[in-house]
Amino acid sequence: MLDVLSIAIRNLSRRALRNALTVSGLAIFVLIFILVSSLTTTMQRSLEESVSDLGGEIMVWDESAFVPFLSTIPEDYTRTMQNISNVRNVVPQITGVSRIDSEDLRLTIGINPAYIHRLYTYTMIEGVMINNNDSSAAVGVLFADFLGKHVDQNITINDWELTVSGIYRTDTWIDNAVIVPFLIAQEIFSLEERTSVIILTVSDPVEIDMVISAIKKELPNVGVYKSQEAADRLAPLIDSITWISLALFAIAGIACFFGITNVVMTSVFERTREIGIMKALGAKGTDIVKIITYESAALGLFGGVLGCSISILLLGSGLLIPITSTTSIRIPVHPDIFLYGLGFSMAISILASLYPVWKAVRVRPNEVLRFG
Amino acid sequence: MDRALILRAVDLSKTYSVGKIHVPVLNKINLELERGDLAAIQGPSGSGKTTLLNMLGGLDTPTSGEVWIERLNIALMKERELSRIRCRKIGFVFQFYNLIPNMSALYNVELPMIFAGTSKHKRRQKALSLLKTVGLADKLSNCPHELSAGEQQRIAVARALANDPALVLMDEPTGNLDKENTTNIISLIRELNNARAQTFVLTTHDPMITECAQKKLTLHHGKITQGFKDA
Ligand SMILES: Nc1ncnc2c1ncn2[C@@H]1O[C@H](COP(=O)(O)OP(=O)(O)OP(=O)(O)O)[C@@H](O)[C@H]1O
Ligand SMILES: [Mg+2]
Repeated sequence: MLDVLSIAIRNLSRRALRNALTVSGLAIFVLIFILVSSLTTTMQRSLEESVSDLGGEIMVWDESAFVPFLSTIPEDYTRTMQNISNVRNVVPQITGVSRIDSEDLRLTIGINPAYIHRLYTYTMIEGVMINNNDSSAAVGVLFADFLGKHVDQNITINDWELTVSGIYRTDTWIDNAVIVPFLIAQEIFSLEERTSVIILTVSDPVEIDMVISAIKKELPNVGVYKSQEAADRLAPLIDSITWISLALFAIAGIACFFGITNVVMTSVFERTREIGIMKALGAKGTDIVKIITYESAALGLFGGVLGCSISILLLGSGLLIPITSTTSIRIPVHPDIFLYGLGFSMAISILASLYPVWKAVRVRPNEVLRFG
Repeated sequence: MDRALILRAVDLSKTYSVGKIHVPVLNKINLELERGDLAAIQGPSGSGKTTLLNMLGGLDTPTSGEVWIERLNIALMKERELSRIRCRKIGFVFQFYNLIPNMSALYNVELPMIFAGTSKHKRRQKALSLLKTVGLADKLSNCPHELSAGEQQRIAVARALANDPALVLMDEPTGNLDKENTTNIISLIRELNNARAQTFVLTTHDPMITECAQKKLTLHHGKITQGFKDA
């Protein structure tokens, strides 16, 4: 078997340029495969992450309070939750109902300013979102219109006086609320060391149920809820990314397939005479099959290894893809993908040689030996 | 049983068809060779010598008739069994040598042994000794295009002997050789023929070869006759 392999290698070295071109073609296929699949997994991940950042994925509150507004739980539950694996962000949030200026039963949200952009999407109509723990407040656009509030004016919550830093729009119910720093909210609503709810985001959406049961185990007397609707809404987008990348592989793979069939076919035709001689010298059909299959498998292997090496260089040197205008992320490299790339490269080469092999096995010695 | 039957052709016929024209090349040939025979076949160009050798060596299938190698009728064999016979029983020297280009002389001689599954070490030893026998020990790493016609022919002889075949078929094995090399090949053939009782069938126009053959056959108009006629 190894001897037949050595014949295959001899043959390959004979058409060095042509085989080098074939190998490069395969390498490009492998490169496309690795880059596109790393890219799509990265995009899917970051999409899922951004979604989970937006709405939070798990909400923890005191169930006996009937509604989250009335719930209060100890703030240091956050520390317990932080230690659960796969938990990314743990954000305590106060939702308080109180008198704001002259209006009764208005909603105030108290949240650490650093986390606002992770839990809510908003646009500023006027001024800026609260960005420190000073006595400032951002007012929802509907409520601001109702009260006729503008930036730098004062607003009174439960007799606390705050300055309006800006007016936001979310197109959700919180356009009727006011957002203040968490620490201020604790004082306004007399919730020292306590919070209304805790919102968690999970690093891997698949792990969400694990995280929920871990929280329930650690903190048996709280209610734990999943809010995944946003992620579900993204599913079709993620699906179409997957399909597009699959179509890309299929096209590149088919192109490679025909390219290699062509190359192997040509080399079989060129060697018809040689194959005839080998048969006359006692080569079995399986010997011929092996010689040609090993050749294509070797092409596939070299192409795969080359493609993997180039992509390791590219990805390893820190290829970044921009996610937004200000942030880029590095494409993470999963070792599996290289094995797949190598496997595909070899599979395509071997499949592509099936027809040429069939042709070669049918060569009759008497047809080629007559002439010099 | 020393004088065993090695090769027998019974009513062997071959007709080539080109379009609607049928050319009968061999017409009911009967032939028997025993172990240790050395037969020379003479005949004018186009008389069908190569065609006959191809039939006897299992490279082509007869239109009708039988070819027996030892106890097997190869005319009825499938390609699969045939390849085994070609590998183990028959050595072939083609009229146009047919060495594999881009493979060294040594590798060309090793090739039949690769197909026979001989171990690398044994293979190398055997190929080296055969190359020495044909006087090309110094050219073993040359590729066919780096060898003269006569040298290529000698490599082809060495290759035919690689698997110690019971039957060696040589199509004009000395056609391109000078006197000295012809003598070398002839003494090699005689030696193998004597020492190992290998059976040889040669086609030739060379009187030096026909002289040493025990069986002299002539192929003419598709028929084989004992003895030589002048062509
Ligand atoms: N594949 C083929 N198709 C048609 N006719 C063929 C074919 N092969 C050989 N022939 C014919 O068969 C006849 C015998 O050819 P063959 O090669 O056996 O002659 P030969 O005796 O070996 O001649 P030479 O001494 O020149 O080598 C020739 O007339 C040739 O034209
Ligand atoms: Mg001839």
